Amino acid sequence: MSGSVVLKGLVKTYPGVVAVDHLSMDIREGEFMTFLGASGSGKTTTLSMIAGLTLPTSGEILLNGQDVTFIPPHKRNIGMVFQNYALFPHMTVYENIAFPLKMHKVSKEEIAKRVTQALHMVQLPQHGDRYPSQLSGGQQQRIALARALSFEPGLILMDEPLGALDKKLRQHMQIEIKHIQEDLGFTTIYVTHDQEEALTMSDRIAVLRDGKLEQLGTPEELYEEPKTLYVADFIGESNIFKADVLEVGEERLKLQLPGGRSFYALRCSETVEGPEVSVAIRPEKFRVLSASETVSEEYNVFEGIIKEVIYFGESSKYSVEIGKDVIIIVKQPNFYPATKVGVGDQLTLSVHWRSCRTYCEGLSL
Amino acid sequence: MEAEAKKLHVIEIVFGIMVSIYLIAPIFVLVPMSFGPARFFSFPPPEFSVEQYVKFFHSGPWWRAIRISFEVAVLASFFATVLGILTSLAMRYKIPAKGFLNAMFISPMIVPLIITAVALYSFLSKFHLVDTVPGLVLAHTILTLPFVIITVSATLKGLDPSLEQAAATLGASPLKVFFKVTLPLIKRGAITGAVFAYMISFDETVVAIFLSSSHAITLPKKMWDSIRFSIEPILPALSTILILFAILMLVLLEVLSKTRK
Repeated sequence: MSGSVVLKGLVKTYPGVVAVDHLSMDIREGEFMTFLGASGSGKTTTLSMIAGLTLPTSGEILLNGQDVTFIPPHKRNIGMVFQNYALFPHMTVYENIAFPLKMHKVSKEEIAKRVTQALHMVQLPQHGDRYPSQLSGGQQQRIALARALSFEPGLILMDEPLGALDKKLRQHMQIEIKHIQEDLGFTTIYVTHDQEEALTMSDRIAVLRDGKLEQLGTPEELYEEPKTLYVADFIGESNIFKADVLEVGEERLKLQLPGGRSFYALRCSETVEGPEVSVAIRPEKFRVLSASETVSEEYNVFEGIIKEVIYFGESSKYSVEIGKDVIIIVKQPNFYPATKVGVGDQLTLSVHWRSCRTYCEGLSL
Repeated sequence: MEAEAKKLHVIEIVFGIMVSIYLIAPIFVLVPMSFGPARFFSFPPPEFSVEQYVKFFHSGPWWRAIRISFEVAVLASFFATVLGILTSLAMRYKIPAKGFLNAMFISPMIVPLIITAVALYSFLSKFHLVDTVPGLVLAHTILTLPFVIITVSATLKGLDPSLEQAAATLGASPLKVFFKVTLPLIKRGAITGAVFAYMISFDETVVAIFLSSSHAITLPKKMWDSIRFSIEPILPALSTILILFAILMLVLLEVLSKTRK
């Protein structure tokens, strides 16, 4: 029952703005795909075009191999969950879930059966005769999901469905949605600006920026191998600083910090232009070395003075100045016994050269 | 402090009562007058009598006027409501010259009534619609349309567009979306607009004076004629009945706005 989606050179322009700029991608059957981006990245516009609520300026949308670009939404058989749930306030929960079934001319007995099923699925079997206004945000969210699923559409679109919930409930619902999706096997396109949510739930993530596809990949690919500085910065945390290029090797670059120390980093592209590159390193890739410890050639070693310590419970973050005006954040789990370091102490850090990713472009946000 | 606040509160109440009296006292003067004799107007009435009411209930021409007013008001408010809903829906879209169109739609409220009346008279006379019920219905539909547009547009502004979008994705055709989602959700605005339209049409005098002469005479026009051409002191009784009717309508509107979910 799951559907596939193909976008071919999708463009949407509004007067003076290109909201979506030649977007192409394949979304596979049964896949949980997330469109991740800041506001204005075109993620919601793209979703709206797939649903048929917005007409593209140019390009094609294929649903199960069939061109649906100009098919109106009610003939597309796509379930959609809206940011504000969009439950019909004048209908009970039962009537809300029965609505798509009635529209698809399902028989009365079948409707009763399927609504009950849907209510059980979202664990609200007793709430059929309530009105949406009598439900909490989390409950409304579940009913919206049940309604979108009740007519078994095969493709579900979700537009920041958890945005209005508090953090605890949001994390709970993320897992619940993921479980339902895995159980029923429907294809999902999920829109969010929350990278943590995207990493937790998705099979693949499409990072959008200014209407263009910045990178498409699994959560691990995006986190471990961001192709652009924007993705490195947007997904998770990265220490980003500039370094001078000393040598250009086949796979790695020899760089120098503006303070003197040289180190190795992963080469960014075919051509390395200019005297300097941007370096991005994840805060948790560093390891704090004890005084006597030595590491292999594969590791870069940095030394610096601790400028600030922030305690996070399960981990601590240290700001360390490793070069002139180069301050990096290092994240370390809080082992027992606790490391006794504080502001002003000298810290020796090691990091594998492959964890130091370089980018030729600068970061403009 | 507390005594001061209390004092202020008392002043507020007294002031409020005084304003209410100022606003409605002149109207209620008619109530005691209606129980006076049916030969001449007098206040206070010299004796108690229900003569005016008896006379009114036995008067054929007055009932005819009431029937015509009722017909006109029902038809005009129906057409104004249908047109008003359709217009308000259209005005949600991006259309050229929207501001100009909006001004056009509410212009009957702004243009002095006497001008509209003269214009309607000369226009409708071309189609031989003067002094007919259809003519009055046409005229009153124009006059009451702005009130429906204003109330329905206000309700539509508060309507979340994602509700209609959701209905569409769930398989509802545009017509189904309108009847199952949009209309039920703007029902309150539409009913309020219809009640307003009805009351305005029922009460309208200026245009009626121009458009009805001997055949299609509405109640306000008949009242106007009776005070000008014959001293027929059943007006206080009729007015009292109309006041009761108006209060009933107000209560109805109030009840409608309370039953909000």
